[in-house]
Amino acid sequence: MIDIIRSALIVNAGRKAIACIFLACVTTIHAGEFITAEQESDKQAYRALVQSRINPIQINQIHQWELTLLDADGVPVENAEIAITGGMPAHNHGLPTAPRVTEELKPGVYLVEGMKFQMGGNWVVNFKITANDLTDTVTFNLSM
Amino acid sequence: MSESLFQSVFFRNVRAQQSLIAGIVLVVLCLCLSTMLRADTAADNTLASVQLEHWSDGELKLLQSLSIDNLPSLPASAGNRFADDDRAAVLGHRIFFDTAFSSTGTIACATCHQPEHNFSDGLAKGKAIGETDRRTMSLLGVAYSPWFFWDGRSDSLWAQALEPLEKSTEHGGTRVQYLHLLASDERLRKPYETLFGKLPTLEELQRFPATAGPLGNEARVTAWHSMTPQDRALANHVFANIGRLLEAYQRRLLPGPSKLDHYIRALESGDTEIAATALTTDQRAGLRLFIGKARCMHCHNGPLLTNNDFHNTGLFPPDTLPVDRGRIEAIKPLLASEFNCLSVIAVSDRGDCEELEFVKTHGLELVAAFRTPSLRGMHQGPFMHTGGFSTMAQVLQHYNKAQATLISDDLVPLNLSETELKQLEVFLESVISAPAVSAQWLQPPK
Repeated sequence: MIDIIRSALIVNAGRKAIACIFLACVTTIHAGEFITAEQESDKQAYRALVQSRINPIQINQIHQWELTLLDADGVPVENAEIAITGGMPAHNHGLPTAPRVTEELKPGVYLVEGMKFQMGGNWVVNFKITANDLTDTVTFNLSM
Repeated sequence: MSESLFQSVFFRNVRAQQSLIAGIVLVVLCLCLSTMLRADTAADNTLASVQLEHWSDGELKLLQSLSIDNLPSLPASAGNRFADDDRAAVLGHRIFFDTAFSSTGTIACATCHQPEHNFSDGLAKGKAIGETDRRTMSLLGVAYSPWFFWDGRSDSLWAQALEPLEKSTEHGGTRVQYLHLLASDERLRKPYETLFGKLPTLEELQRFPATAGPLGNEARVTAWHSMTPQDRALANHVFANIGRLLEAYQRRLLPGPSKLDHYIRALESGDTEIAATALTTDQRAGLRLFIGKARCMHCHNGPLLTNNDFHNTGLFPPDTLPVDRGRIEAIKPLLASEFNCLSVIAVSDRGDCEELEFVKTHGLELVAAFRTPSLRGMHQGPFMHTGGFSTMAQVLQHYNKAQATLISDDLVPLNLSETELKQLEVFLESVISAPAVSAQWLQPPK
């Protein structure tokens, strides 16, 4: 499974615009092309792969994502506690819904329900992940 | 000048002329090639061939996102398996216009949701038995919203329809009163029973109070609690079905194409003649502001020109706290509602309750936030949830000067010129739709 995930990361790596600000690389996902995207957590504890179940993402449409978590050694992170926040920094508002993980579909693969964006512009989605007493945050930037 | 020097200058000039001619030829070739390529592109993309307004590809996509032609089919109704049943729509239509569904015999849904006013009433506050707290919303395209009322305290159109029927300032009746009405009027009883099964017989009705409900004055509530749990459940069931019938009718109230849609269609088909006349020059300038500088599309997006989400529009003095707290106060009644998507009464027709299950329950952005209305349903003023602006010019002036409020700095002054404000104002006249339904649905049933 890890190989499949790694393949997905490589396949999709070319689809993203990567901006390096200071020392951290932030991936901007363009919603029109959003199939999958991957991102490393702030303290490099985890790598996260997100995949939207609708493609492309449409504004005003509630939908689901799949979130795959690997640790620094590429091992799936099971039984993680995941808190999801986000919003539009430029508008000073959060997400219009309260998305949450509802199921671990298979080891390290989580179903995120309740994702929604209600306007075009730049969004951030944060996953605060806690597993084995290690907490770290992964941030995805989206351009809708 | 010596001959050699002359020859040198002459040849240099000839070389320069040759270079110049070669350059001109190259430029002409490039222009020809460019024209040919442009013609090919235009053939592939007729949108780009209309050069009247020089919309960029990105702008054209935004325009298309507003087109009524991109309105998807109606979303399924959770909790109402009769939502698209013609028989339910016919009966719902009858109830919508029937003033018997009120405590006074004078108020129908159509009292405030008037077809001739795009299913609003042209008043600052709705006037039924009393006055409502907020302006009457248009019903055009309402079935696409996941939330209802200005604060979204209902999550379905059928549940929304129930509250005004019992509210003292609106219809003022009770669910038990409406049960009696349905069961004793043959014009209502027969079609109801065809859909939902037997109502109590007239003899069985004797054991029900004439009027009773869990809301309202003490006498009504006392009478309600004097009923058996089974009878209360029956009254609730019939009451919910009245909402389902009203929803079936209201789902048909869809907007037709506006002048804006005709303009977008003309761009798509490459019909420059219609593109030049569907909107005036000022309206086209207003459209450019609408999708860009004026930031209207943050909230008024999609084919219905609304995101049906909740925003603080700063309609209270900047140094005060809001009196009407909007969405944040709606969360508790929404979650506790006996008629929400997850309620027992909705379970038999259970559909997708994703919006309710993942509803945002806290956050400063919910304070004094109100649902974005569809611009297609505008008729004339007053505007906003308060009905506080009688003209669109006043609305635009408000957003132009918008001040941050104590609870939000989301509103940023637009700083548009007077000319731009006027262009935006005349453009907004072009987005208004008329109902795209046959005339029979726009008047009381015969």
